[in-house]
Amino acid sequence: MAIPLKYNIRHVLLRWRTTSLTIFAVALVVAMFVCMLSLANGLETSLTDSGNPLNVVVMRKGATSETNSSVERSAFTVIQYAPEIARDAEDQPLAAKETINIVIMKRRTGGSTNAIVRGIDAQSLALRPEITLVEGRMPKPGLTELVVGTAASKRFENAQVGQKIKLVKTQYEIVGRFDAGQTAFNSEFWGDVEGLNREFDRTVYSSFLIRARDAASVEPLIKAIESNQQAPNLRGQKEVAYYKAQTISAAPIKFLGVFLSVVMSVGAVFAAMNTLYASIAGRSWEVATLRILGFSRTSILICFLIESVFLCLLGGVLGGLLSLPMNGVATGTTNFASFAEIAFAFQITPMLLLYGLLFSAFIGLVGGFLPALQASRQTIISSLRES
Amino acid sequence: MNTPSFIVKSALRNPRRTILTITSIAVSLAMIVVLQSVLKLFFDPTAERKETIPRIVARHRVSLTLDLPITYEAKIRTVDGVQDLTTMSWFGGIYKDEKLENQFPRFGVDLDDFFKVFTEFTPDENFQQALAERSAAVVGDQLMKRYGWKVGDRITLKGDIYPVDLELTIRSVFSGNDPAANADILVFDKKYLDESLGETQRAGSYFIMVRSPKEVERVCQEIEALFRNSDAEVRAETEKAFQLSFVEMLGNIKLLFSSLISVVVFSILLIASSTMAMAIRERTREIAVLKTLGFSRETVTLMVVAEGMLVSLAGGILGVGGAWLVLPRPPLFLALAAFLAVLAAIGLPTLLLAILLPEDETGRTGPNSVRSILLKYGPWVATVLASLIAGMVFYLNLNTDWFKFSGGILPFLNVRTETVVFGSLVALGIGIASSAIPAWNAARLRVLDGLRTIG
Repeated sequence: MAIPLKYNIRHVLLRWRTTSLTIFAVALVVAMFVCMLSLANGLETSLTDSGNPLNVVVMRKGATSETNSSVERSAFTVIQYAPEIARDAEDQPLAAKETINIVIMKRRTGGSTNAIVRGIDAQSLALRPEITLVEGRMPKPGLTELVVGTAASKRFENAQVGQKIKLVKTQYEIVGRFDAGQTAFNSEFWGDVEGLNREFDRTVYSSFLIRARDAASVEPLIKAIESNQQAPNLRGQKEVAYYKAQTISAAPIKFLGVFLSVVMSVGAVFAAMNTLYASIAGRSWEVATLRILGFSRTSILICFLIESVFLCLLGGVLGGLLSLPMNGVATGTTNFASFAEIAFAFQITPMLLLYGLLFSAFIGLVGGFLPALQASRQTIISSLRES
Repeated sequence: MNTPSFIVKSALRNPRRTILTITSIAVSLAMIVVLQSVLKLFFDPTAERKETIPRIVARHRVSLTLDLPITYEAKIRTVDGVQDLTTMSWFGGIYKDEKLENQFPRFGVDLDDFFKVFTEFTPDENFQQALAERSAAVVGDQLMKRYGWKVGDRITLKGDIYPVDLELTIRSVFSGNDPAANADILVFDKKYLDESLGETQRAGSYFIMVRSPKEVERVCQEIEALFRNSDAEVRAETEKAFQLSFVEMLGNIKLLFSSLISVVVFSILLIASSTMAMAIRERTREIAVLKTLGFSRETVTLMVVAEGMLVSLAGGILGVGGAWLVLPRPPLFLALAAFLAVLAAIGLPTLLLAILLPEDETGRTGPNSVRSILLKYGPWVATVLASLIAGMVFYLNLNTDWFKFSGGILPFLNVRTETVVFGSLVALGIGIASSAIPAWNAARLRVLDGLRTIG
């Protein structure tokens, strides 16, 4: 027969002064765990949300990202009429030449970092239907104008609509702002590709973005591009996969989070152990009584394990609550694939909170095991004698 | 028995609790030392250099990816205070594969000027020969060691930023003459890169040696002024500021690390406080007895605080000292990890087995039952085995390179004096803070109430 749960719960509440210290220690570890993982989560989401499943990024063979790729106009002329490429209402292929320029910009919060100034083509916006213009207008070809992503506009100095930014030699006016949700594009500036190429003194493009007609023609399109003899040295990659591969940038944060949590959980486990030992030591008489009443050793073991898990779960709940205010807090880091700043937000999901609770339950289980075992193995006579 | 020994005895009265507390404090403090050391490494990588080298980096104001015209070299040389300069073009590229451990800095430089600017490096006697050969690579000795290269080896760097593959031959090795000079880069003549590309009279950046540290600021300003309003404006800054600009890119590392450190500090405080609170509450009656015997309030307070300090300082010495000893020494670190792993791998199953074995019919465990034998000898066997394996790991890894071990993340992780001081101060503070409330309660305790208290 099991000992009623009430016994444990009331006991945890009885010594609230010392137990609250332990609960708080567990809460801190769980909060740290949830916050660090939500940071990695936010960065990953912004990269996995980027890209359209039908889009293909074409780069030079050997290039690892748009930043260090270069492709020529002649190659674009060759591939843009491939039959697998989708067409718009005017029967123009959905294909765009784009250039990534990395520009040093000041953050509003201090310090400077690299921002992407992307040269876009006529079809670039049509290729990314998830992006909407929310303020102003798109830049006109031939003029020194830029549009800014909402995150970039919040993060960089002089990046509001109406303000001007000096690129290499010319002042560019920001004429509009677009919203790209949580995607990486939201941290970018966009301008006419030909004008920006002149500004940055370059004759080649970074990549071509093309849209396949349908899901079935994505692979054939990539094959057709890679085997095209007139435009050698090209490599096609699904846009989604291209960004997904960059989630590796979140790995150090994840590692740091898990590593710290594991090390800190040692402290929390020991704190839970101390609390349980003390609470059991004060109750050896009660334990003996329970045994006399007929409760088995196993049910005493389980009873104290439950007490420990309950104690730590309280900490887990508190830790989850403590971490909640961080949800949505915006931050940014350098995406090492593109070598440019990517803005993202702490993202606490129900799943993460659940992990936090499981983590706290695990702390309770490990920390409570030895004390519970000791309680269950006391002989009745010696326990009764003790106090 | 005198007061100090009474304090020690009190602290050890519940040895299990004290050991658990000391261990958690030690682990957490070691964590703080690790975090601090990483932070220091990020923000002040050259702090161990004996003297500041007055070196300036001049690069394109707008972007890291834009080059500067090669004609700038002659103009920069005219600035008063400029002693020597070399171009530095980041080649990037891929050596073998894209794995982190195969990445190291590789630059195209003006080979004949490079060592005049990087005075902390000295090339070996083959350097003249390297100068004569266009495709020669000059490699730092730490890099040679890491990849097991020998002079004469051929290296292929597949280009990514530049659309050429470079075939280099190691002709000369240089070494650092300062503990902070990490000779872990590869340089080659930039003319070889220019020839392979068949163009480019441009340079990624210029590294400039200035006559004296006092002139650095003025020289920076003059260089920037020289090219203001040109098609390629220049940003000139000290080498340290240049390096910091890369750390800045990571985001608010300082805030992240300092919040993590404060969370860790706070959690140690909670753990230590709960231990002290338990310890003093259990002894309420004894404290009353002490007071009855004539110990003053001050003495009682002092005794409680001293007990708290003893526990937290023991944790501090273990944690900070351990980290200080182990972190910069990869073999020791690996040995410690192996020791703990083996101990856990043997200890936990033994413990479980002992628990799961049925008891005898009296409900007690006899001295000769399998269980008691397991519990008696298990820990010893586990410790001895773990020590043996740890010793082996230590021996085998005597030459392990931190860089390779950490997958290229950390070049080295030295624990600096200021970090040790910080850790010790934290331990000290925790000792005082954790015992403050119990000490206050003990001092205020009325003898009669104390004597009346039941357990």
